[in-house]
Amino acid sequence: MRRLIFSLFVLITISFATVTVDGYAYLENQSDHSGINVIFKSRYTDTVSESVTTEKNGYFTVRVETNNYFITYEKDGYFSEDVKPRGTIELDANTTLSSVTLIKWTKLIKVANFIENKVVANFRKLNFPQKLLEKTLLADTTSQTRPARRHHPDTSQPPASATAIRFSKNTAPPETTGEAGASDQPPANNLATRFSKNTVPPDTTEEAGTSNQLPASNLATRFSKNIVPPETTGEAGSSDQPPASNLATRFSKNVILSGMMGKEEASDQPETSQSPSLYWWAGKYGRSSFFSVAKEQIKKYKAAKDLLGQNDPLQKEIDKRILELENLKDSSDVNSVTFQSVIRFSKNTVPPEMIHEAGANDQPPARNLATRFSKNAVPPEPTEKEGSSDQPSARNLATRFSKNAVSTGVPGKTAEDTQQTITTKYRSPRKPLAKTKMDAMMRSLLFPGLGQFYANQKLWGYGWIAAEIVAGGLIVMNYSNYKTAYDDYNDYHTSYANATDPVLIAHYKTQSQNSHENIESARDGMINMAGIAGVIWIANAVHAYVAAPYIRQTAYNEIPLQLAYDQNTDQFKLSVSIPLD
Amino acid sequence: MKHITMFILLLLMACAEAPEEVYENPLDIEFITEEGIETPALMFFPDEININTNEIFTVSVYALDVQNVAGAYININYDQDKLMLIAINPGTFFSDLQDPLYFSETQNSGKIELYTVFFGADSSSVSGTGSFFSIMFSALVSGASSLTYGTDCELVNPGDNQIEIKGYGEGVVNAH
Repeated sequence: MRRLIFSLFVLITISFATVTVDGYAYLENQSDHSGINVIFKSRYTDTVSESVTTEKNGYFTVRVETNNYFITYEKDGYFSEDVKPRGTIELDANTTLSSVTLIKWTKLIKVANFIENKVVANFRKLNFPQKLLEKTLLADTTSQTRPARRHHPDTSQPPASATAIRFSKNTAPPETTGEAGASDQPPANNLATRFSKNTVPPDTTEEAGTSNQLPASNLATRFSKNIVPPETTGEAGSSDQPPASNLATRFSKNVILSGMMGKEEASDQPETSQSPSLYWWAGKYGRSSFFSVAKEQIKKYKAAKDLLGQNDPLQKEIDKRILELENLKDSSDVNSVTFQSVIRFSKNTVPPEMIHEAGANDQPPARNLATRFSKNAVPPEPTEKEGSSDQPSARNLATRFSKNAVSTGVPGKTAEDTQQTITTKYRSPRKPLAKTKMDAMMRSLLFPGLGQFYANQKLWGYGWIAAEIVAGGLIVMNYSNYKTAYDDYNDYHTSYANATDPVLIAHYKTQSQNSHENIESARDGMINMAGIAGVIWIANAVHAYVAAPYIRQTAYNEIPLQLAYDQNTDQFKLSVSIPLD
Repeated sequence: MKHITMFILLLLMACAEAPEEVYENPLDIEFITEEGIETPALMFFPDEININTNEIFTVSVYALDVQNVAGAYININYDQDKLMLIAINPGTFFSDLQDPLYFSETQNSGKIELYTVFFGADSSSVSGTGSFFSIMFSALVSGASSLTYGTDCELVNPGDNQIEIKGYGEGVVNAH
């Protein structure tokens, strides 16, 4: 009997044994760390066993029964955190948990969702079976009211353990809008369940509060591991953003410029394959890039699968998805341009036109952007509602995301670009007028040496000018002599005609004759030099013709041919103009 | 191009045209010889006169390339309907210490007869080319008229021997 009583005592003691658990939980960049809910949820019953709120200094202590618990730290406006390393811990003795810091919600969450949306939108264009797409949406969506949230395949995911660690810091907030945060947040215990494994909330819009949230257990499963936080709208600016430095850490892999979203989000994802930039992308990178991405996707799904339990219903979905991707990888009839769209956004790169619109013309191509964004988040885009938000300014963000920050673009510009109606496929720009031999000769005929200058033979040009100047000088000199002799002749002849003295008559006659000879001489010299100058002029023109570059270009060779595709009318347009000059 | 060159050359040649060489002095022996007049000769100087109507002009009577002349008889014919004799003055050929002795007969018949004798201090005759008289006319009407020498003109040396006159010049008056 005593044994029996002792045994019962021991059993009861063991069964109802309690342990003291304490630790610290902090709010990032806050001095007051009170109000953080530390929720203990039994791993076996999936019910909340205990919860405690931190003190001002972040300290908490609680006595709980020995058990295996999911422990979640939660506070409104902050990302929930799970206890490290796996979110669960076996509490069979007094334990001091490692300290946890909760990170404030940020608008950058929508960046990740933007990436996800891009990927899915392009999967759709890849002729993915609608069934697969629906499954994708199903797997990614808790509310099932918006297909905006999808799995975000992270090509750089570490192994499962690492994933848990990583996403313990990277959990997206349930709501990022001001409205959501203000009213419609699910209870903290639900959130704890929902985001217990780095999940994101079902929806991030103002509808979040009214959305039909699935049970927390399902969410926990569904959003396990690698789910991207939901989209933040422009109103997300009303939420309290955490410091940028933390954001950079949080979106360590898959963050993209939120400013790229703009109207794209509002227009329910533009047809990225129609974007002119895709032509550029396709031509630049080729379709082979897509297959490597598909392989990465498969790898990610396999990693996610490993993290799930054997009986997890998502297993089948992931298997199907892997199968589809493998089939897709082997397919060859898919438009390469669309492939590139997937590649681009799955790598979190920025479409070139977005960069262009953002004024960051000196940005490296998308291939480099992938690298850039892999390490450093891009600052969020200041929306039209930013003025009312407490978001850090774009300038600060740029500082925050040092090294590779991209300047903010103009919201909505991207959508406009994608709607660009004419995409010029080939255009033969009209070249500037080429130098021709005839031009050179005509210039030299106009003035000696001009043709040589035109033909970039300045030395010859100066030579011809000098020769012509010498010839011209000699002509002038002879003309002067001619004029002098002419005047002398007139004077002497007049004297001769009026003279009555035979001696003077003879003298004047002789002088007149001499003057006349001088006239003849100067005239001959002038004509000869004029002839020489003319010969020089002609020779200079001929030389200009010979020296000018020989260009086999005719007007027909310079026909501007323009081929364009009008996406509005779905027609190709060909324009040809023939210059008549 | 050729046209341009030719144009420039022609322009230059036109600008640099040499004057025609004309030597027509009636006292130029070369000239009158070319004209077929031999010396000794009697010439008018100038041999061509262009005047307006009623304008007075002077024409000189020249002995060209004569030797040892001491006296002369000059007979000149003119168109009295077109020209009117105004005055007759002695020339410089016989001038020396004193003006030469001369007299004339006009008779208003279009004929002038002139006589002159040389009285020199150191010599009794002159040689070479010089004027015997200068005659003033007035053009009465417009038109051309001529002055000619009569065939009976005589030049004599100091021994009163006749000197052959081989050529006679002619004067032209163009009255406008």
